[in-house]
Amino acid sequence: MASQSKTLRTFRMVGLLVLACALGWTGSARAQLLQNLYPGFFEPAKPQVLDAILFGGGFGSQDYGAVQEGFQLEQTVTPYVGVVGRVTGYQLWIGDHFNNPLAPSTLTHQARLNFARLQGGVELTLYPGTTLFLLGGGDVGDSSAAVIEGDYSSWLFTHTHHPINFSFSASHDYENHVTASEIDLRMVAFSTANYLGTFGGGGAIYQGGQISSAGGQGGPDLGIYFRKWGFGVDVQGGYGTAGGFGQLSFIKQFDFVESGSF
Amino acid sequence: MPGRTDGRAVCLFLALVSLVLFFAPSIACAQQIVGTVSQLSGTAQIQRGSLNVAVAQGTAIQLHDRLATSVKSSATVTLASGITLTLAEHTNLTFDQNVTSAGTGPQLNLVEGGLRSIVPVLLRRESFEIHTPNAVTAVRGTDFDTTYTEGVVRPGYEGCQRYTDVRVRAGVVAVSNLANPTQVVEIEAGYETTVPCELPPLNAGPLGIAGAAGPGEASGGGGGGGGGISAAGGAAAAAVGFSAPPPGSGTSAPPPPPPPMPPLGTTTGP
Repeated sequence: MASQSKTLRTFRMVGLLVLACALGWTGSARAQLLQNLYPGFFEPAKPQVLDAILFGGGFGSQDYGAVQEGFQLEQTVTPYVGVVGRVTGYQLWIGDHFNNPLAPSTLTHQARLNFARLQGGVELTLYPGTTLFLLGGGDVGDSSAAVIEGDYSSWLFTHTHHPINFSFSASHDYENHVTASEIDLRMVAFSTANYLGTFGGGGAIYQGGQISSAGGQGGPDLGIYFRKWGFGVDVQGGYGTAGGFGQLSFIKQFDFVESGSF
Repeated sequence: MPGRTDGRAVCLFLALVSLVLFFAPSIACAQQIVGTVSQLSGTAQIQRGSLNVAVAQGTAIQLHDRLATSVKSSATVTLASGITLTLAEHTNLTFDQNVTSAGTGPQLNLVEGGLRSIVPVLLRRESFEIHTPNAVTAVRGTDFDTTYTEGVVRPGYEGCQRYTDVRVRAGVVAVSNLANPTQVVEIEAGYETTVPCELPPLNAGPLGIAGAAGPGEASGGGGGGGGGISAAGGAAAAAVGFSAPPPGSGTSAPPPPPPPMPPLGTTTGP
């Protein structure tokens, strides 16, 4: 009986030892994996960079039109974490045949909604080329909604001539209880010292609140980015719940690097 | 006896003269001017043997000089062959070969930091090489950046701490690892690559997206695929003119289109 108990104890001890080794190894392997994925995780980013992005654009469809404009500030903290602030102004028109996305007001319609959205949050670099923005904020003006938003983007096949960018964005408006999401897949068509051209397709889908059934739109898009000026233009057209639509958007980047270069 | 002494003296003299004549070309070579500093921003120094020479605009660069720029400084060197080299901050470059001789081909050693090289069109048939501690970039006339980074770990490279990044603006650059010179990757204009430690160069990817660092951003540039990306994505890359669109947005504006707010007083979507 005593020998059985001793044997059992020995087995338990060996089992515990094996478990401890396994856990220890797993912990060590995990630490190694983390070190490989995120070296210097807690160190400040070098160089520190403040990135300012101006953006704007317009959306025109048979049922509504919208213009947006704003700016975004991104400040590095560590190589993987940054803080983001974004201010966007929206003008939304309801009506028919807003076929000029940049100047819907040239038609006979009045702006039905005019508001600004103030957002702040973090930018996480999950992997080189893969980022996630987590933002929260609220509207002022014709809307006073609280909003949350998540923007995910990933560059795939980066060491080829035609990398692919996958982006997904979702936001929720706590006033009208509408959840909107946007998905986009685009490929680098060409790259030169001065230009980067992309093409692809994407769309948006929305539902919630007063929108009982899901709506959305989608279509192909083309983009060009002028490296020298940090300026990009993107056009998209397609069809959806609101009928045929066209969209034009642009960005202008300003970068302030802590340490100098030429 | 005095005649024999005189003869010995003459022989000694002739031997000395021969020695001087024999070594004269190499002495002249050691002092050979290979280029001049045509632009200077901030401060830079030349290490010439045991001497340290402060650099000013117009300072001559001699063979075997080591030119080093300080923090927040840059220097442009115009070689006698017409090649222009712009050194980013905190860069260390030696002129170890005869960079003025078209016959042997110029060779530079980038010990640390980043370098932009512009080879005039007329010289594009010449062979021009830049060596870093782990890579060779062979150029046949082009405009390109070479950056060597040491002591920085980048995600996804399993602890490697030595990287040579090459970004090409014009022409073609053949890149290989010193440890494996036969495996050559050719990089065209608008593309970039990275040579990590002893590994062969990665395949080319578009500028600002493939993760290569540029001059002045030695801790790794923006973009994807392996560079020490900053949270601001391509911001550092943009500062040197090689930016990609913000990683979060492709080429479109950062935020998504306005949410589909239902028209006031209606019950359907926009």
